Amino acid sequence: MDPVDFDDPDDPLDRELRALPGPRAPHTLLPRVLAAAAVGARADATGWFTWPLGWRLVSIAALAAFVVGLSTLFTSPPEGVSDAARTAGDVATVVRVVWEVMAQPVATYLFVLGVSLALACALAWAALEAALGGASHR
Amino acid sequence: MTDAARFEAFVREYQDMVFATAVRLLGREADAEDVAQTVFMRAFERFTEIGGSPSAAGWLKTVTTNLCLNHLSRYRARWQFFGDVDDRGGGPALSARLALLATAPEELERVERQERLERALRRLPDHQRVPLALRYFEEMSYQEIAETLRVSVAKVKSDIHRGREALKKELSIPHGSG
Repeated sequence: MDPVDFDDPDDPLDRELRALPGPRAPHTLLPRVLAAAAVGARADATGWFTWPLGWRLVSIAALAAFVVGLSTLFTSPPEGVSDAARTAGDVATVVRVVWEVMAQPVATYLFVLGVSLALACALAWAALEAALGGASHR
Repeated sequence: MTDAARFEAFVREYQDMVFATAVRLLGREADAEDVAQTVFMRAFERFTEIGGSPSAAGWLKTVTTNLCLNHLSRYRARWQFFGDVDDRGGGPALSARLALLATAPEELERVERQERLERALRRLPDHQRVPLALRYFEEMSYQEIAETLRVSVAKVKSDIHRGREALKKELSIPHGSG
């Protein structure tokens, strides 16, 4: 017999282990679970369909007004909005020029550096986890 | 019966089983209670499927085992380095001890021996206690344990063997028997 194959129904330790009564759950477990479930149930019950009818109607009206206002803004924008759009366009052009002249040449190197650092951190973390985790499973 | 009442009945029915599985895998009652709560919250989220299912017990055991193994791999290694201040001494509550006083001496001896075994089991290091618990209380084969723990069958056997030797020593059973 393999010295570490030890399934012997007559072995006293096997008998005692299999006959060992399961520990009872502490009295605090049930109230904890029920309280957590009640909180979970309340969280589930905060969806739009659980709102009172009046609030739901108001929210639909507010959403409709928002959509109508937004579409009006895009189809016939007021004078001030047109000016703001032109200014935004100018700013975008300046940003694009600054990007192409100053940032773009070094962007690739910065990106590679960032990825390398992230990778090194991940590897160091994995090595640390393996070292600590291995200690408990060996 | 309301859903809340059905869930309460469900927890009452399975709490001992879930807790026993967790405490034997984790070795600490406080951790086992936390894991048991998480298991029941998972069940609560899927209660419409699981509530009346005949496979509820199996589902609960599987989830408990997986959560315990995750817990051990995430936290235990760190705790070991900082000293294990826990309640491993365990044992029954005062009321249970007082009830024992009224029982026959043979029964008392048997119960005390079971307490010693339970305590010894919880004191085993994780790598011995977990495969032992899976083998004797979850009825898993060596192959299943090896797959669950992602180690070789030889290591499972060796760890169980060492764990058994430690338990025998604790219970003063002669080495080599079994």
